[in-house]
Amino acid sequence: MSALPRVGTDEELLRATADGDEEAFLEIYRRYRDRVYRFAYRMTGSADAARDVTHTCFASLLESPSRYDGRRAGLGTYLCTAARNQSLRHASQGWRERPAGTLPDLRQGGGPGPLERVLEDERARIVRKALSSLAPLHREVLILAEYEELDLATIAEVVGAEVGAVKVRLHRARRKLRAVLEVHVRNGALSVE
Amino acid sequence: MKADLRSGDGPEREGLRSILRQWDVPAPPPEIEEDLRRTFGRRRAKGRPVLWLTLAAAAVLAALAVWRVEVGERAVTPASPERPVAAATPIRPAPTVERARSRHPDSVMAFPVQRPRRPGPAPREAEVVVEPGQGRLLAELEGKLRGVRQAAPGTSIPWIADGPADQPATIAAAEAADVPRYEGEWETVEAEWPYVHRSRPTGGR
Repeated sequence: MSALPRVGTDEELLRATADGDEEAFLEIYRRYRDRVYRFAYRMTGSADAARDVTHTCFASLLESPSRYDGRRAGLGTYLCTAARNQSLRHASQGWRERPAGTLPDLRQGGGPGPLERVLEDERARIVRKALSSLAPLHREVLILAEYEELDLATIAEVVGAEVGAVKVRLHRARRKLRAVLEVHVRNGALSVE
Repeated sequence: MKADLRSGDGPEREGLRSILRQWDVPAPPPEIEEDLRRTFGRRRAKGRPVLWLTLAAAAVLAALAVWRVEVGERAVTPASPERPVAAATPIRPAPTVERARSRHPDSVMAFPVQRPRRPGPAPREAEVVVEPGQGRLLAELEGKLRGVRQAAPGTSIPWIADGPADQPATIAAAEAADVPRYEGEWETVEAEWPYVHRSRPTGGR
């Protein structure tokens, strides 16, 4: 169903998109959808919000591609910045995870048994709750550093802060998260590998 | 802790990372791609009315331009049904070469040889419509121009000083630049209108 991946740089694909090439635009989406969606999901803690954020980011790229300046940052960094801003907007509007059907059902068919799935879901819920307890400025740098594995300079570009400020935020975020998770590690709900 | 932040390889950080990995996030749902396809289609469709509006505006402007040209042409032609007082057809000048040859059959003239025209339907000549009152003005102008000397082609008329009518006019000496390189006699063919000035062939050539 999906077409073969298009070759070309992000700039070439953006130019083709501006000329009305739908497949070029979808290729850009396929390149960066995982990063944007995962980041938005972890920032908001909501699949619905992550979906909304992801759609908004790429739609805004489609509507006004001139906002992206390739000389300043890569397209992935630009989209992460857009996702960060959209996620903060969602957080300020009080988006919350819907109580039912929010955890992904990743293992339909062969996989761990029901008990193991329940335990995994419980661990994921604890981590998600611990992350959501962080302040947004701490949460975003922690997600970008630990999940997306971006370097400090790129994180600083995404969040619009100095590298020194990012270091400080990251340090505080880890300390706070460690304190929250320590209880769950001690009672055996979480395991450190 | 500083080394932990810089390198990211500290044991504490590794422990934290392993805990964080226990929250896995699913792949983005395919609905997002479908939504973006629809958004792309809407955006393309949104651009189409602009194109059609531009084409329609261009067509209206073109129609307006044609209409203005037609109105302008109507304004030039007489608006009243009054018939023109005169309708003159310009006389086509006769072929001078043929006439010159008939006058001087033995002369060798450097006129270009014209091929005899094939008999065929003569092209219709445009009818000159004269407005009421213009015929009289044209007749007066013709009367004035009859007495005016006209210069031969390539020359300029020397300046003639105004003086009393009973004395001959003083003609200033023509400058060397005004003198044509070929000297000959010129004659005016009054049988044609407008008058034609041509060199009279001399026997010395």
